[in-house]
Amino acid sequence: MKISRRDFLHLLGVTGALAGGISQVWAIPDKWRDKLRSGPRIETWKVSTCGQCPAGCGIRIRLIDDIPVRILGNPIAPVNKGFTCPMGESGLELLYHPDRIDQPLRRKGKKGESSWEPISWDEATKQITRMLQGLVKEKQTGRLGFLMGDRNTLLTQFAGIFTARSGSSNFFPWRTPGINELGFWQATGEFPPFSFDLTRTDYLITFGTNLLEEPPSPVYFNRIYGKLKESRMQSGLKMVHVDARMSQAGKNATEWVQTRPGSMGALALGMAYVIIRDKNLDQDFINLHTRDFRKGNGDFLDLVTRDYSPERASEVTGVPAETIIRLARAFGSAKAPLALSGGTSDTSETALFTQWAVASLNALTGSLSAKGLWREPVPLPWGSSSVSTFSPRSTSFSLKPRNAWDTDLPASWIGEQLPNFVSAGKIADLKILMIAQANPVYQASNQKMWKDWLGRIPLVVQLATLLDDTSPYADLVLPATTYLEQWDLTLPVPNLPFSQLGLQQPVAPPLTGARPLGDVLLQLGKGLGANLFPESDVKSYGDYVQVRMKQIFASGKGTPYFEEVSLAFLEELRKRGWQVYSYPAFSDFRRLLQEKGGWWDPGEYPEVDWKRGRAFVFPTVPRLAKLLEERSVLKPGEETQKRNKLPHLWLEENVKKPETPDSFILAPFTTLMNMNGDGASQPLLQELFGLYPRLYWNTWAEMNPKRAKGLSIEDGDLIRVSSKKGSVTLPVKIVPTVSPEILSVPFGQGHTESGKYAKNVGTNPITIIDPRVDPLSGRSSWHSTHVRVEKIKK
Amino acid sequence: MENLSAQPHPDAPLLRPIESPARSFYLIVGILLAIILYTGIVYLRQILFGLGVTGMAQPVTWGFYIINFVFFIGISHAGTLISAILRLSKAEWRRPITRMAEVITAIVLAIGGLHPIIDLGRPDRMLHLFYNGRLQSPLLWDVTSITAYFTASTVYLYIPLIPDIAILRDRGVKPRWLYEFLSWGWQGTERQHKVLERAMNILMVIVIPIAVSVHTIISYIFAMTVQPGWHSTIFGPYFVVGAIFSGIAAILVLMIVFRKIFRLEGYLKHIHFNYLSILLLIMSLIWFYFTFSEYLTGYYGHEPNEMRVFWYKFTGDFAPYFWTMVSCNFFLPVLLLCNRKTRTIPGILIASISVIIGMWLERLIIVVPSLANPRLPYPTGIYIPTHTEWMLFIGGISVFVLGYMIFARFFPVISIWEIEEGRKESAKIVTERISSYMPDIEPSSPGGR
Amino acid sequence: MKWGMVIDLQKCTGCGECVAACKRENNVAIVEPKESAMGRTMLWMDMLTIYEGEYPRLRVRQIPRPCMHCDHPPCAKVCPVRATYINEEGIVAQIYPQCIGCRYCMAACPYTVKSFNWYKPEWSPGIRNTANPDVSVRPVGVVEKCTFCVHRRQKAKEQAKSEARELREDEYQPACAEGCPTGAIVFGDLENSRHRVNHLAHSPRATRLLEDLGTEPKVVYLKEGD
Repeated sequence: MKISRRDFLHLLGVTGALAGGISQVWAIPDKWRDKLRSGPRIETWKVSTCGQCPAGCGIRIRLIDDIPVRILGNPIAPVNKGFTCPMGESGLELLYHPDRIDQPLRRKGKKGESSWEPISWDEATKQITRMLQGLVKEKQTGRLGFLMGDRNTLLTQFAGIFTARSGSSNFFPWRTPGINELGFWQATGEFPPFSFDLTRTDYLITFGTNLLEEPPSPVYFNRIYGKLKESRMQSGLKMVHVDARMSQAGKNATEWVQTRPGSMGALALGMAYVIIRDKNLDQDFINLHTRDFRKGNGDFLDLVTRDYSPERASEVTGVPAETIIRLARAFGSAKAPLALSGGTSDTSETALFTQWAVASLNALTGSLSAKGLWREPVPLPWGSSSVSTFSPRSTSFSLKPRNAWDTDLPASWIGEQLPNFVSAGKIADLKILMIAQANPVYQASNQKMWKDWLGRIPLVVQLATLLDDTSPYADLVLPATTYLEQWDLTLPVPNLPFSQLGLQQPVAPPLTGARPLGDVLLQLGKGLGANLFPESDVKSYGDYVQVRMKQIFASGKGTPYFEEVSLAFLEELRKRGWQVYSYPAFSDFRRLLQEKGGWWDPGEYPEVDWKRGRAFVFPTVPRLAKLLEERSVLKPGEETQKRNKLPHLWLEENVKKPETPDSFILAPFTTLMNMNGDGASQPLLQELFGLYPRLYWNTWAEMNPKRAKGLSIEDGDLIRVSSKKGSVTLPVKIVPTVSPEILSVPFGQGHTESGKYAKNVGTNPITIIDPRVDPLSGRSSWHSTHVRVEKIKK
Repeated sequence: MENLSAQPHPDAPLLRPIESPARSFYLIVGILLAIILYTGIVYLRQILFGLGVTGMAQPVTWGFYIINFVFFIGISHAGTLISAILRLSKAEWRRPITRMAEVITAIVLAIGGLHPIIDLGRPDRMLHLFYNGRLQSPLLWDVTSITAYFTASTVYLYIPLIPDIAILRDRGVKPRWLYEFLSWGWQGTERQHKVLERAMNILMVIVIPIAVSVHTIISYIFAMTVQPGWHSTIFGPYFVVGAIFSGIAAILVLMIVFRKIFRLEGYLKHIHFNYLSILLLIMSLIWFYFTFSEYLTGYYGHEPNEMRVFWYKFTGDFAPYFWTMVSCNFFLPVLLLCNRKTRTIPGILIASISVIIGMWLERLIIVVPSLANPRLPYPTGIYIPTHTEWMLFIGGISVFVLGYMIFARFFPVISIWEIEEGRKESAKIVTERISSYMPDIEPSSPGGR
Repeated sequence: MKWGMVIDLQKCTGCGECVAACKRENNVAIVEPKESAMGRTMLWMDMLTIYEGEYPRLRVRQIPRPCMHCDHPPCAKVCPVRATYINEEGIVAQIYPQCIGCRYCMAACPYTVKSFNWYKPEWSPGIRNTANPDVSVRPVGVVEKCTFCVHRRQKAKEQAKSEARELREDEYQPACAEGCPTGAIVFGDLENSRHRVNHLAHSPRATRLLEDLGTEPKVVYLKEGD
């Protein structure tokens, strides 16, 4: 055969393209891609649900010869509509992390030392089972505890069941509260909080809520923000962000209002003052569905009019009175105003008070009665599950059904304070503590207490994919699989106005030696002789997921994810009894779920129904006083001060101001690249951690230009930041996006473990935090620490 | 070494270093070779690991290598250009200077010409320049003009060297084969002299435009981009002036060094230094004039990106270097050279060294600040040269010193035959020439009113 | 055919997904902390921040910055070996095996979009599995930059060819446009009136970076409207 030059080149091009490349430029895979080069290079796609954060984004994984090479968004997943965030992108780096543990490890040295001996799974499970059986024998099963990082999946509930069936109520879920969670829980008893539909509002004010970088779902809210930003050119929608730091939410708002950390409640009440004075009230709603707006001495009206004139609010918050009046008028006169609180307002000593005040703004102005703005939290197809709660009276934990807890608090709020309660003798010390998906020694502001406590517990078992900062305080570390290697269902995302269950399925075979957490728990339960699921045949966690899937199928509601069609059309179909997909048998349903990635219920968008005997309770002086009394266990030792002052004024004293020219309030913040510190294990996220200030792989301190000038500090200088608890050295980034009173430091770096990409990179600002607590919710405060700054000579 | 010649040569001081080299020669060569060897190892490391071993990064993607490239090529202008201009203008005082100047060119050009290769991320693909070369790229113009300049200037060095090599051959200096081979059968016949003269005249004319083009083109590397601080029409002449300026300073330093070491006081007289230093003074003024125009136009244009670079040089991170440069290139030499009292050999030496330092700083100030201050809102870049880059700089200088020493070991640094020729004929030629300038005396003049 | 991109800054929230998607899609090396601190981080898609005014009138603009794919690319003009050139579809492409690493293009690019492989890019053994097999990993010592994910164009083109039809707009989208959650990044043929970019590029809000340099970027920004 004669091949001309032209043919040859053509052939070259075709083979090049077949080899996955294009022209000479692309067709040279590195030598380590041997496998792919020699393989048939068959491209397949699998769908699953992202497990990097609790947002439940649908993902689509591209596999070449069964090796996952890229994670993309699942275009038909309702939360993310085909998009992901940087955390979602880097999931494969977690799956293939070089430092993943592949066999159980037993600690060799003292607690706190990271030296390990590998043992077999049998040995490990035997050791745990022996201890568990010991507890059973001594009738001390209540001294088993389970600390579980809640990634909003079925697994958390499963771990709760495991704990309960093992005879203990000490199940401690660990998670970031949803938007408005504290405030609405206090005001209405509602948990999880109401959902809201951002697209329906015409005036959005976010009190510390950073929807774009923090849970519940950054991808969803980035999507919605994009839409709002586009439409606001015509609609004139105002988006106001209130915070000491201009986070991404502030940058994308139409206005940023600087406040002191922790003072946002006073700002909200200052606005309420103006709204009340202007009579810009939703009288009907107040009369019908609220309590204690006007009740006599110390009622809400009294509280606001006496102590929150704009001038006084201005003193507390640092926001000019005119601004407060302007915001209040605009908010009050909007048709569907929406005030959200969360984020930084969750992590202050006035967390619950702030959120309650913000929630009250919504109740005053008709936001809560605005059409379609607020939605009921959608119930799960299998009915609501129970919630782990904490009773401040008896200082005990219990699993209780939703919305029936009396004076209990959600246990997830006070997770960080566990060691404090133990050392104060409020709860009995544990004999066994299991830890999964949480890293308290890194994440908690009272790290010292945690280290001491973990050091005292006879058996700490950690289930982890990587050794993390907590591992040195564990006695056993069991290798767990990642979300890409196991079955799970992600639950509906709090605050999002629709119900969704995302299916997680293994996209790669599990790492040899690592086991899914659910399977480990099942095995431990078996060892105890307690069948966790007597009612059904559950042999593995995958079976349990299937049981739940059957329940969805049986409920007859909703549908597997489907390509976007108009909801009106869908409603039409529904009326005629048709469905988008047909799945006569469960096996068809299951196959569809696996193909489409999850289930959702697009039809049910129930508005919040106030006629169901619900009432919005305003904060009042007597109620605040009573709550402080009732929850005194959360922040012991300050009773005398409480009695001398009105409760809200006493709370307000926790709003801190810098005292000296070199003093700042430390204000840690989280970023989309890391969220709760877990992202640090992945190199892509580590590099992008400092994307905005261009300080990749680093922690920095953001300082206002005015203060920097006063201290003659220049951009890039190294400073020593010292608090009572210690000091850290950080490079300064001088930006106008922080208030002059704070020093903002990103949270997420400074791990002592968590794999080679995280270890000893950057600084953890939490280590120098003065661990203080909100006396009403038990939330740890990140915004109560005075730090002094001094420049270090380079 | 024993004196090989029967009769003492009239220019014995010029032959002495060749016929009986000092012992310290070998010591210095040894030290230099050690430095160069170490530099070689450092460079090998760069080849193995990549340019990561340097301090270059984004956005400052060019550093010491390009700075030194421009600097060395600038120094190279000392020689051939100056020697050619002096020869062309028939300046008689040139005779003891031209050789030294030409040698600088040849050696420095070889070193400078290698710098772009050192700077390459893929030196193994250097030949792409030839078979994939794009003539539209200023870098390729550079390759062309530097090669041409190197060829022309080595030939221009070699041709006037032939009679001197013949002298050495005739005196039986070892290694004979070298002089035998290089003298090309020079017998000093009239015809040979004529051919030599002819060749030199042709080369002289060729070499001047090439030399000017070399530095103009180097400036084009910068000026052909749209970067602030680089994109300037003045850059061509500015670079040429800077090159000649640093070149003269380099010659002066070398002249002073050789005068001292080889005891050439009889050849390099004060008048030579005086003339050259006045030339240096003039170049300093011209340099200042160019610098002044360059920055003044930039300042009045007040284009924001231009100004970012401007302030970076005037008051920002580069201010210490900038003002040192201005002092070294302008204030110090002008102060020293304007005053007859300080225009002594030590004074000239200080001025020349200061100019060399100043001109190196100027290259630094041209290359780095424009790169460090990108147009878009990126942070200002930082460039801290590493050990590798410093070593390659020191190594480059060592190669120059070594090269010059080896040349001086084997060949006279002052052209013997031209000196002889000068002794014999200069006076006559100059008299003739001067009389040819003079207005003719009209034979029938009445002898004034 | 002239491929181009429109980035609507009114829609963009600056989330950084385009940056992450680009890094993953194109196997852009992740540079370790020490190198990164020197300024050797490689981002084909970068995020620029501009602060305007002072509080309370402070506005922060976040601008995703890919390669501008200029119609008169200053980088291609100066390349001595044609390792970077503008192809017939307007994409300023890189030929890595031809690059000699002189970095002249980096010095010449007014947008500073190019990255250089100062060292051989390294991945951990496991993580290297996740590399995109469609895109080669660059060797040490060459310059690289955004290519508008040209490998996707090739793939889509061949698909279209095998089905004997024209290339559809949605078939060839670079990773950043595909991943942008707000849909702020739109990609297509600037000369094809059926493509969205064609209309958007003529919006009154349309602007280009450093327009006055005459580089004629094919990345068009739509300014914020409020």
